[in-house]
This record gives sequence, C-alpha cells and structure tokens, in this order.
Amino acid sequence: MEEGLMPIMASQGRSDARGTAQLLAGMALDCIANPAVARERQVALNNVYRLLESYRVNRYFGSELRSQGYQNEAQRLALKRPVERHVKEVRDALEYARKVAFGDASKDDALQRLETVLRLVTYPDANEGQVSDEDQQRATQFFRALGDHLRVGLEAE
Amino acid sequence: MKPEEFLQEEFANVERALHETLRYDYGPEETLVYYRECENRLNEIKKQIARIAPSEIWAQLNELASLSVWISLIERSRLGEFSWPFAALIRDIAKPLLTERIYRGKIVVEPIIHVVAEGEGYQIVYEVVPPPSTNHRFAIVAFPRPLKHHVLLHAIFGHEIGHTAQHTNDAGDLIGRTVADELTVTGHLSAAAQINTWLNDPAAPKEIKNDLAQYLADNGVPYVFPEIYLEKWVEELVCDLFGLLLFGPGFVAAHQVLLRPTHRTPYEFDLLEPTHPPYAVRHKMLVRALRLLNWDKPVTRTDQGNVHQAELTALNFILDDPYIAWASFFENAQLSGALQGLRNVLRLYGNFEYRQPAPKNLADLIDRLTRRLPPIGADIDENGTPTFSGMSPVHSLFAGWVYWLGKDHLVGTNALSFLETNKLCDQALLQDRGILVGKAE
Repeated sequence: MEEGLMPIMASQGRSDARGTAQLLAGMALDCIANPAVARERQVALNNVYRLLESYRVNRYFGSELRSQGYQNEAQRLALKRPVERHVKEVRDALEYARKVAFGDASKDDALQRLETVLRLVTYPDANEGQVSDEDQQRATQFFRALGDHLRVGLEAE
Repeated sequence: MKPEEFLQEEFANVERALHETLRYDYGPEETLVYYRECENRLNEIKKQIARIAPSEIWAQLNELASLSVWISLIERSRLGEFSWPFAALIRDIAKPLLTERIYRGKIVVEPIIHVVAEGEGYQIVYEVVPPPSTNHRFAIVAFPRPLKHHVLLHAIFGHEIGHTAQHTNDAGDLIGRTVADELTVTGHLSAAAQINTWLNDPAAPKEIKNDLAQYLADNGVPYVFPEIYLEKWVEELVCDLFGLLLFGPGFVAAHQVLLRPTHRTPYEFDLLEPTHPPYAVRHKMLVRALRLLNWDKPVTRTDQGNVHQAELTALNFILDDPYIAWASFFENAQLSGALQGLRNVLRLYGNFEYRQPAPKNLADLIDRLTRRLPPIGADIDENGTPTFSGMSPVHSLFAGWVYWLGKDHLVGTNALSFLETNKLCDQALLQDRGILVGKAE
C-alpha cells in the first residue's frame, strides 16, 4: 500500500490472501491431529478444499498483478470489495509445501491425496475406511510447511 | 487494550453493524440469503476466535475486515440505480456457472450474486480465496451508475461473467482445458517470445513501431513483453468469446461502441502493464468468430423490406473490420475449436448459448420499436393472458441494436434516441421477467 494511505481500521478493508491461507493451514493441522474437532469445523475445512482445488486446477490462480492491489482515490471510496492481494505468494507457498510433503509426486496425485485426507477427516465414512498413517503424515507435513512458509514470508517484509 | 481484546471489540463492532442493517429496506431477492451468509460467517468467526493463536490475530482481523465490507454492501444495493431485470438475467446465467461442487459433488454450494451500482465501469468481483468462515461465495455485480438504462451496452457483462467463470474451480477448469489451451497451443499466444516476434514483425503498424522505438530510446534496451501478462491476454480474449456466445452479435456492437472510443489508436497497448491486447486484435477475433458461427448473415429475408435493410446496416457496422492483417491472432481451426469448447461449457452449465431468432420474430420485435413499444415477444389475448413466444430477452437486445443502427431504414426524422431505445428494451426485459415470474407462480 502506498505510504500514507494505510487504513487505520479493519473496516477500511484489507484483503490479504496470505492471512486467509495461514488460518486455513492452521485449522487443517488442528483437525488432522484431532479429528474429533473436525465436525464443528466443516465450513472451514471446505474452504481448505476450495483453496487446494484452485491451486490444482485453475490456470489463473495467483496470477493477479501487483498493480491490481492498488487503488486510486476514487476506487478507495468505491463500494466494491478491494481486490485480494498476495494470492501469488499463497500459490508459491502451496508449491513449496507440496514439494516438502510429496517430493516429485505429480501435482494432481499430491492434491488428490491431500483432499482425500481432508474429506475423510471432515466427513468420516465407515465404508471408505480411515486415513492411512502415511497420508496423514504427509498432510500434516504439507500444512505445517504451508503455514511456516507464509509466516517466514510475512516476517521478512 | 491487548490485541486479543481488540479482536473481540472488532468482532462486536462487525456484529453490531450486521444487526443494524435490519433497519433498512432491501430488494425482494437474495437479501435474506445474503444476510444469513454474513450471520453464519460471524458465527464461524466466533468459533475461530475462541481458539485463536496470538500470531493469527492479524489474519482474523483481516477476515473481519472482509466481512465488514460485505455487510456494508447490503446497505448499498441501491435498487433503482441499475436495470434489475438485466441483473436478474445475469443471475440466471452466472448462478450455474459459479455453483461449486465440493469434493466432486458431495456438497453443492451456490454463489450469492449481489448487484450494486458503481461509479466505475462494468465489473464482477468474486472471492478468489474464500476465508475460513465462507459457506456461499459472494460475487458482486457492479453496474456503472451513469448507464442505468443502457441495457444494450450491458451485453458487455458477458465478458465480465467470462472472467468470473474462469476463476472458478469447476467451470474454470473446463474452460482452461478446452478453450484457453486451444488458443495457446500454437501461434502468438503460445509463449511470450512469440508475442515479441509478433510485435517486431515488419508488418506491424506504425503506432507499434513508434512505441517500441520510443521504449528503446528511453531505456537503452529493446522492449520485452512481460511473460506474466501472457495469461492476461488469453483470459481477456476468452472473455470476449464468452460474451459473444452469450449475447450474439449484440455483444460485438456493445464491445465496439464502448471500447473503440477509449483507445487512442486501435493498435496501442500499455507496454509496461499490458493487461489487455490491443483493441484491433480483440475486434478482429470477434468478427472472425461471428463469421465462423455463421452469425454474419442477416436473419431476416430480402422480402421483409425495410427491416431486412436495417439488419444489413446493423451487421455492416458490427462486422466492419478496417484493421490490418497483423492484428489477426488465430488460425480458423484454432478459433473454431475454442468456440466449440466454450459452447460445450455453456451447454453443460445451462441453456444460455445465443441462438439466432426466427425471421418473423426478429421483425416483430423491431416493428414494436418502430411503434415506440417495448420489443417483447409476448402477446396479450382478449382475456389479458400473455402468450409467450419463447424468445430470449437477448433477442430483444439484438432488435434494439438493429433498430438503433438501422433506424434510417425504419423511421424518418422521428427516430428514438439511443437512450429511448435502451429504455424500451429495458422495459421489454422487465415485462419478460414479469411474465416469467407470473408463470412460475
């Protein structure tokens, strides 16, 4: 944000995707470690899925331009929500976490395994069995690496 | 006040703001769903705050900030500042395209499409990374406030719906694989290096040559197209095709009327932030697509006299392409493939693909405009019961363009102004929606 134009209060509308991703990573970690709390966090976990899917399938995810985060005076007073900023950094953090947890596995394969863990944690189904220990460990590794990468990036600013 | 106490204070402030919105009168549709989504998000945030780590307080404040913006938008829906039948049409088209299938259909979630009037141009704002408390994603459709009645120009929303659809995980994935991939498999958009070759082509217009020479003089190095913008150009061109397939030739008319005057020259683009391809590239692609779709020929027959002449004149305007061959981006087969991919998407998500009207229907709509009546395809019988012809409201818009562009063949000096033509078309959409609602009840 341009110097001198920092909003004083939340109600003036920041929109930083890194914060959202950090919250989502933290919640996913909690629920994987303790599936008993997952039921009351279904809404949040569905958003973890949405984030992973955007990263997996959307060619434009994280392609927002730096200039889109900035607004002129009239736009700052406009009624619409500010454009989400730092989606690219979220995409980079997801990329990093995938490499840490899944190495050279394909993006589709890694994400589908992650999404299966999330689904079984969020909506347990006796017919589908349980999450394997290996997948649980990799998912934990993934979300930990995601949160850490975002935090380190933010601290470096 | 400690950070966690401030977070609690902010939560209470946002909660109060939401409850205070109950004092206002709002539109008949969607408001309750919108309010409940805000309320549910607050409930989720409350659960999150109970377990929040100190290092996450800033992110939680961020989420409250977003919610406060959504709440403030309820208060500013400003019905009466935009064409609400057109807004209803956008909702019809956008809702299936933006509906999400979480875990491949285990949970199906519709978007909340909220409409406002804005000081800026046509826009749809969509939640790309939904916060943890989100159930339904918001999509805000912003009409330009000064163009309250200009439904003929609102066809440009077809382009904006294309942007939003491309950013979804369901339709967006399919569009990426079947349309965007087709446009980038070969040719100028296959790599940034190809754009550079194209820009430096000896056949490039003098405007481009001058801009590149100026860049070299200013910077001491030749211009290199920034790779990050390649996908932006792809996205914009797909959006133009999206608008064309939703609104037909009327989209190209609106595209031309709105965009042409905003470009200093048809070939220019911002070298440093090339968010959009040159206007000439976009127009040329649309005209070629119209021909490939066979929409370049008149619907009316020669024996329909003045109406036929008016349609020919309108099509001449729409198909006018004075730009040099350098601005042509795709092979015919490539463009046909992309159009077919997009048609498949539109058929999968709804029945929104533009279809040409029957000759008599189009003539009737135009005739109504010449008699200063709304161009609606429904008659009322002796009992006052409307008989709906089954025509799409999009045909009313095309009739509006034919009337406006070909009015010299239809009426003398007493022609409707552009605003009056738009107002009558807006009324037609209103009546059409009224009949639809009446039939549903």
